[in-house]
Amino acid sequence: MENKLKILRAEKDWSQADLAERLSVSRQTVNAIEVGKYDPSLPLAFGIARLFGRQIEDIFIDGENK
Amino acid sequence: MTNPKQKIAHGKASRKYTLLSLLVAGIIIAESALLSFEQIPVWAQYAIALAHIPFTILVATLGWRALKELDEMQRLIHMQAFIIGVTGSGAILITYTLLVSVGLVSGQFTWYFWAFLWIIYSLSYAFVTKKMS
Repeated sequence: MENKLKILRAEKDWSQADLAERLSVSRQTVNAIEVGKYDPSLPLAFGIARLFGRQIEDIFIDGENK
Repeated sequence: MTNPKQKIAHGKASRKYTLLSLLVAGIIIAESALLSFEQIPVWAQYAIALAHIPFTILVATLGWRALKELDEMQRLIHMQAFIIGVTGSGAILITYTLLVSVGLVSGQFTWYFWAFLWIIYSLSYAFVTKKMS
């Protein structure tokens, strides 16, 4: 699954560690989500959406419905 | 503001869980190796059996605490590492047992066989956690 997390994070000028702290996850997890190695759980996806003030589907793009 | 203590908390929890998992596997395999010695007295066998009760409580408590400190992806990685480690070393154990039971191999379950299994488990665990992180 593709996502715009890296772009949104860059807009806020946050490091991966900054974002990880705000989401209460490890920096490792933020990196894995950004590079598409790991799809977050629904609660974490909602947390990300809430943090950036967006809808989940604005951040995560379903590969089958591109 | 980024709190350095919080930044490293997940890494510490992950290392703690890895060490605990390897320690548990090591102790279980060391116990199997100890019991494989024929000369072990009966009282020692009972002592080992009884030691399971506090040991299980301690491991469950420490494991649960460490698990709660991990985030969702780290939990997934450790769960996969555990499954792959157990599957790998278990497959060797089952294969060896079958070969011995059908007489194709005239082997014994020596302490170095159990040590070999622990090494296989540890390497699988380390490989999976490293590869997925």
